[in-house]
Amino acid sequence: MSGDVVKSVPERIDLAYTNPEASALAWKKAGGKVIAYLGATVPVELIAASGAHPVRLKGAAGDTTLADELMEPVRELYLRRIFNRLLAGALDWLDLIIVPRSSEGLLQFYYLVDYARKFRGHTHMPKVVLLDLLQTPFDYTIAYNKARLAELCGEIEAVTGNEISDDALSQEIARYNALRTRFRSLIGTQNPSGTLRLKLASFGQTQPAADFEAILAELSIDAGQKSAGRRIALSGSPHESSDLYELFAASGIDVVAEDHDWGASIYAHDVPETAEPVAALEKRYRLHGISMRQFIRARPELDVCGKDVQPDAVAFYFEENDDTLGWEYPDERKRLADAGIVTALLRGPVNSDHCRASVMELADRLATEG
Amino acid sequence: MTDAKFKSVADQPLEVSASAKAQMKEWFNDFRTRSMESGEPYVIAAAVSPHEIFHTLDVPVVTNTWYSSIISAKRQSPYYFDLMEKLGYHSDLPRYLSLPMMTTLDNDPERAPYGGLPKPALILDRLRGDYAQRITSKWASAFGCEAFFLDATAQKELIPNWWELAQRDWEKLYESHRLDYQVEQLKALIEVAERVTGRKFDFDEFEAQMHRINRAGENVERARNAIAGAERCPVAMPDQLSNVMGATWSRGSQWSVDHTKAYADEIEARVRNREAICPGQKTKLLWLNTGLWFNTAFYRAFEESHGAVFVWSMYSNYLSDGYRKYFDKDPLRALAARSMSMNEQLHLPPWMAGWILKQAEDFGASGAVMLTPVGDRLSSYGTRACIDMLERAGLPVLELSASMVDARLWDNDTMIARVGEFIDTRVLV
Repeated sequence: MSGDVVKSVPERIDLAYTNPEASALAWKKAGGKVIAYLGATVPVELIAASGAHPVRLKGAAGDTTLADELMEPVRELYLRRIFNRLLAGALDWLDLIIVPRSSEGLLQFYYLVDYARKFRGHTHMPKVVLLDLLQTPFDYTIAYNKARLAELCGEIEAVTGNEISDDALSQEIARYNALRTRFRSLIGTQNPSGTLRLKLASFGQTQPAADFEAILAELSIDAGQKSAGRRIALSGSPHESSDLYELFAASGIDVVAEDHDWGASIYAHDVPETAEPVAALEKRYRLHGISMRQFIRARPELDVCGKDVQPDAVAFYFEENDDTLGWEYPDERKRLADAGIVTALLRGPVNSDHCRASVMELADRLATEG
Repeated sequence: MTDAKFKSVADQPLEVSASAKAQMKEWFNDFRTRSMESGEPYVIAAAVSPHEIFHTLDVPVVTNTWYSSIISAKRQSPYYFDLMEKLGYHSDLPRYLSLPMMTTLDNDPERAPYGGLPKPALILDRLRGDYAQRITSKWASAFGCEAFFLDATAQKELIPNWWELAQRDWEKLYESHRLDYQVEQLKALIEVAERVTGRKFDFDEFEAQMHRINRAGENVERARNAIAGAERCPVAMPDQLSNVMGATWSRGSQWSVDHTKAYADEIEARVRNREAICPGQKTKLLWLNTGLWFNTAFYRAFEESHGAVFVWSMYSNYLSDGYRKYFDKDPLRALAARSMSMNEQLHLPPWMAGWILKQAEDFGASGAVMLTPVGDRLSSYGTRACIDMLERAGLPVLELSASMVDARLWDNDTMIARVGEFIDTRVLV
């Protein structure tokens, strides 16, 4: 792409969606440090306070041939794709990757990278560190987490050569809080479609904070990109890609709220600015970091502003081999039925015949029931 | 073909095995009398959780895996699988650990084994995977009892040869910050356990139990060394499983010390007397990962046909290598060390494979069969890398996938053919 051509806001959002690492790579080529992370429980404020470019890794597309040698096929597809890229050397340019212990899959990913480096000779891979941030609501967990975050600061400082001062951290906390506030405000006032909201949420995970700030300030959503059609909330497994959202849209359904860790809800909670910075980050990410191990999950019909969107239905999507989120479905189905809300169960993969059929079935049901 | 130098004990279980069975029966009778009939408090606990706290309190412990195996053995699992589907639990959710909860949700004493489990004082679970908190919360809610969760901290560095450090250098092996956290969790658990059972935790009795577990582990090591060094295997896998697991579930008791001593004595005597379960033994095999509990005869299916004997599984000596924790003055920290990395030692690729290779070398094994529960993500993690590491070290491995709770899905003829072919083409060559 040419740097001389000024892209429109929608084009910039789409570009970041299709090529999420481009800005981080450019930053690296210009001499900066890039620190990647997985999941939604790594305090991005710590990375930003070190002067490094934070980028959350996606595994929405790509091959898994190399990874399949060491990874069981029941593992999460996005992790198999990212692992494949690591083995292939496609991520060697990163300065550090932070893997949080916010799902068993992520923890096992961390150990497998370690195995590939030590026992299969993949020494070319960037350094990978584990953030053992627990999410249980116990006093002793708080102390444990604060110590782990302090260790992470040390790792980041070692990579960047920059000390993370309390002042710098407080500034980044304030900055990211402001971004979250702007994001929530935009969602509340401009009512974007589910697909656009997902892409916008993704933009903030992979692009520099300044760019996200600019996008949120400049974006003016036209009528064609506003939410339209039957309104549903989406619960269950994560969606890095907008495929399912588009599948719904093709059936006249818009996803107006979701509870997965690439959705708008990752911007629902701020970091307390009056508390000691590391303690504030600990609390925010332990309680509100969306993950498989999050102790208490929010109700799916709440949007990023905490408002009940009063959906026509709630669709529960569980990826193949889901062993966790499906346990909540029967109780949730009953709770929603008692509230008069239709539910639907969708199983992955997204573009499978059975998933498409479930989407169509829900659309028909909503049409029939008016 | 047999070797005249060896006397066959192919059809003779160890004499001590009867004691292991009797102990299991006695445990169940005690549980039934005290908790099911008289309403004494008892606890449901995950298999790898610190039962020692409740043994010290003299509170019966029921493991969810034990009750799962009873449901399966009574061929009730298909009914509860159907119930799961009717209730809306999708078919990919792990079933083995959820079967006991289904008996509670079903609330049909006529159908559930032993009339179903009564309301426990507490359900204890360790949050290794992501779903434990969901199942346990739901189950505790159905019972109307309390749940206690032990969070699972993550080891940062997997130091090789964990079994060399696990008994005396565990402070170094398991990382001090994790031990600190686990001790805090255990203290909290003791407080809750005292409250819900109305009993007082006796630290002197606890310390005595911890020493007895170490002594039982020493006996199991003796037995393991006798089997490993024997020219012909003196004890069948089902005998190993029943004796060592019986002692593991009753760990801390004087019975477990006496029983493991008798177990080791009898195996050593068999070796001295040149007694073998397969005098015509040609090769030794290891059994990896999950045990084939519903068909333990399978372990012995290749002795006549191939002279192939399964000599080791992880249950053979985990009581020795994994449970033993020597301590000078802090038994609670030793218990923390024991209870926070059990699964990890048995399932994380370099730890799992390193230990297996050590056993293969000591036992002189020429191949291994790995059982992977079908469609079970948590049980599958690390198996591929483990196989990779073993094969690269020269140990051939056959992976079998099977359901652990539905014996109807086990095709015995096909599995026997697969293992037979593996022995013919990769082990005996």
